[in-house]
Amino acid sequence: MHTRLIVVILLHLISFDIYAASKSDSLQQLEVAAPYLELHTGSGGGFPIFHVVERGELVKIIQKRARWFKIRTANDVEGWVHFDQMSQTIAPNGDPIEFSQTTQDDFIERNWEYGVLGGDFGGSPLFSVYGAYLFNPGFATELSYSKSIADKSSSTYYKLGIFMQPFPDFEYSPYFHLGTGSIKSVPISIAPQSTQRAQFANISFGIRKHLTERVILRLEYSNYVILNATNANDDNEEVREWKAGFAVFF
Amino acid sequence: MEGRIRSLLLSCTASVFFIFNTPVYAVDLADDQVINPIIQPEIERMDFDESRINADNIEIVATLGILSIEDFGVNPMYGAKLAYRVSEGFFINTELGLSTAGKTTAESIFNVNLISDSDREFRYITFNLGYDIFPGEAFITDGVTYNTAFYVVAGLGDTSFAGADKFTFSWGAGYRLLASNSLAVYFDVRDHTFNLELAGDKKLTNNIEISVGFGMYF
Repeated sequence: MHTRLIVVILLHLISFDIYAASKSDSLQQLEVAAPYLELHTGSGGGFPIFHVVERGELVKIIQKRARWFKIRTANDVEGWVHFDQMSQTIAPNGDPIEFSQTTQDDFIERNWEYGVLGGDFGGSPLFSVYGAYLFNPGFATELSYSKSIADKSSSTYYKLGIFMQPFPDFEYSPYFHLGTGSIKSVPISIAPQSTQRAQFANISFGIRKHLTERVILRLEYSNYVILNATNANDDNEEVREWKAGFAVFF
Repeated sequence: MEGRIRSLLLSCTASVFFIFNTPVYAVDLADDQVINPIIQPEIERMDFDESRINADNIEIVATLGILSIEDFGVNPMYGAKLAYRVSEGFFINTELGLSTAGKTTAESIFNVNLISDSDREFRYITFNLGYDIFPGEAFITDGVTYNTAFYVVAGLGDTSFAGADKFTFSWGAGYRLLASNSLAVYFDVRDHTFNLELAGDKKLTNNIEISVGFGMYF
């Protein structure tokens, strides 16, 4: 069954490729305005330059990967050109062009953010995945799923919260987060013990930094209050959490 | 069964659609029908539209391989990866893998079961950061060259095995060969390390995966 699924996926992949190749006439065409364009054999600065396209020649853009463009010259030579050189081209109708670049402003004005964090939840290792939607640069809502695995039990918790970034334009932008959710603890030992569920509330503060392109670095400290935790006194239980990780934004 | 056939038929229809869905062009007019303009335009007048540029930063990979589950033998595994290219060198990805553990030597000799059959399911999900440490080219023949990269990758995640979740540190390396503009072939080695407690004995286990993968850029 799974083998067939993989075969079907592969067929799709191949057909997509044929489809992409058949579309070549709709590729964006540009005219070289810089003295020349250097074509590398691969999408990296270390790949050798094997061809040069002169000013006034036309090139077609096949694809873009990170900051490299794969182009095809009028003589059907294909190679990779760096963003900085590609920016010095003009549209065939003579208009100057500008490729969109991810800037600090795009980061500030982002709408969606997805990330993965790792850290420590009350002394046990933790990982967490989350998605956030920003209503405006200073205010957002966030949903996260976390898993912390200790020697004796593993905890899974879902958290819904809001965060406020009072200084979205700072290079290291601080934020505050308030959340609530549900935690489920499953004992690992073979001895029969029941699964425990509890509600919690948390307050967190942290820092975001726009690293490069669409990537954010995030550090966070949280304080959880687990309500009516199942312990000797049925008291609330406080847990501290540290985490750090990366996110991408759109 | 009906569902399977239906999904297969749908897949085939979709494939055929993608293969034959090529643009249709007007038939070229004969030379005498065309009024030659006084100045021949040298270039096609095309405005700049960035959406025509195909940005390939997201990648989906299907993997097949073997997984050595410490004490539980070497078993076939399959999985998937979803990667996002952050920059020229860096990428982030999520890796999923599935396998079923065999029997330990002790279980075979004494004909006992240390864990139940359902607990032999081995599933992992890891979140990783990778770096193309040695990008390069492979010269298959004199005329055929593929771009390649040797990369290192490390991350953390969760393994579900022997009836419990294990916090997993995963690290390894791989070799990527770009077969075409959007297809890639992968050779990967990973070590998934986690603490395993069986019969009261806790130890750090190394579970080594060797796999090949087929990926597609979007």
